[in-house]
Amino acid sequence: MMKKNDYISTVLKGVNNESKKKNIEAELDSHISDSKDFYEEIGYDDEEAEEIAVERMGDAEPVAEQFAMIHNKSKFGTVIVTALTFIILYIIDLFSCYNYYIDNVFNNFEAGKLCVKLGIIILLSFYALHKKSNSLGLLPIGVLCIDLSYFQEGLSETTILLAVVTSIFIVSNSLFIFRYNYKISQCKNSKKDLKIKHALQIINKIVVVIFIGLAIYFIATAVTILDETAKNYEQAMYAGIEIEENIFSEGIIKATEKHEKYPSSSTTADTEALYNPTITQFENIYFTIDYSPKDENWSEAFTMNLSPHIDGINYMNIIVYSPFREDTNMIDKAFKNDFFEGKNKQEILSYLIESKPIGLIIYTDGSEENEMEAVRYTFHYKYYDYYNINDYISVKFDKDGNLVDIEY
Amino acid sequence: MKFSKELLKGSTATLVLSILQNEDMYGYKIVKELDKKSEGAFVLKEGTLYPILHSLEGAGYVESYWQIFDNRNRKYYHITKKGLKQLIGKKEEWKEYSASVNKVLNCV
Repeated sequence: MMKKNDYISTVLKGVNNESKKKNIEAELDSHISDSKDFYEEIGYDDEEAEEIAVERMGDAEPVAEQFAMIHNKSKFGTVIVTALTFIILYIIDLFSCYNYYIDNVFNNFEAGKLCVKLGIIILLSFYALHKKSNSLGLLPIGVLCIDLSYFQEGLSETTILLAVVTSIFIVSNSLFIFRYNYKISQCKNSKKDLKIKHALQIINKIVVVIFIGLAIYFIATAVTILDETAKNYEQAMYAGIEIEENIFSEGIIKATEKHEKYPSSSTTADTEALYNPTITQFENIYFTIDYSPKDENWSEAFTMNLSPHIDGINYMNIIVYSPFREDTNMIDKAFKNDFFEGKNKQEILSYLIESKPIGLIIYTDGSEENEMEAVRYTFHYKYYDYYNINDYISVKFDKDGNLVDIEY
Repeated sequence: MKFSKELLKGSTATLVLSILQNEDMYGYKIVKELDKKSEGAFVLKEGTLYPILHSLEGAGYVESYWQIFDNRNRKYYHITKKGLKQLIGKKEEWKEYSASVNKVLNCV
């Protein structure tokens, strides 16, 4: 007759998963022991009681086949579906905000942000692999929220907060599930754990509803932003083209010599505002470009596109390019991003004096305060650093147009 | 009266859900309860109960937890809302099926 251990080992032979094996072994052992206790109570000795208990379990082979069928299902499909979900979301994310990512992530490669994002996606992938039911439905929505929150990060603190909350929720959810599954593997998951799981499932459902609402809101907002961006981009491009076409024309030279307003052909109020009405002399024409008052990231993208000849290089070169457009040597240097490299303050100053700069683009954050400051410095060539508004290069002229100082 | 294996085969899962609807139970107790409630008519090969329970758990009809009682760690099964819905559906199905079978049998 078959013994308890033989029966159990026969049943387990078809199951590959060690955790499942441990569970089934503990469960069958408990059952046979209960049954054996019963037969001992009614008078059988230990050996007979075990034999009867095992006999009552039936043939071990079909049970083994059944268990193998239930517990050896391939997770390959789940892995593929999950991976595809993330990849598709990521691609959509990339292409839905093309300019932003192409310019900022790939050209300038914001490695830190990209790594954080990939890290979250990898974490979610593990989570998805670990938990195939209940909370899995949250994942694509969670990823979408995080993506959209990142996408909008320069615009709203609320969206960043939501991204953080989303991440914390998913991570804490994952931690519970990992702990819960570990307990299951050790046959230690209690009724209390089950209650916590139920509570979490209810919270998950509520969160899903909230996330769906937020996702819809984010998508709607993103569409609006992209739409506005396209309009602003177009406007800035036309303004740039117009400047390029007219800056050397006889008309502008005469106009500026007579202290007249730059003759803009644009009819929109916004484009009118691009040209400063207080031009006093040819050497000190400057343009304030206020195309994205709320978001510096977008402002950067516009600027890049406004002056295609300086793509991929920093603002310092944008400032100096216009004065030195005829100087091919300096243009080369500008493209190589080493315009001021190896030059001291006096050398830069001398070069600026000799070159008689004719144009300057002033970059501000678009706030009224900084716009006003830019206007006040009519004779200053000023550069606001993109990352820190307090760092700038200021090239000062006196009222006669003589260069008097340069500050970093 | 004991029923044939074929008759039992399709309905064991429903019977197990029915046993669990009022109380969480472990495998051995489920077998005993089935035996008791059917007055000895449903006698399972006890080992066959476990693949059924694991299938039900996989489908989300039951969930399990471990509890130590009398120094023995037992795996208790708890019917879920999804399981209750399934049970109600199966009961309805059974009523209609048995009524139809009865009609045919009574005609003969």
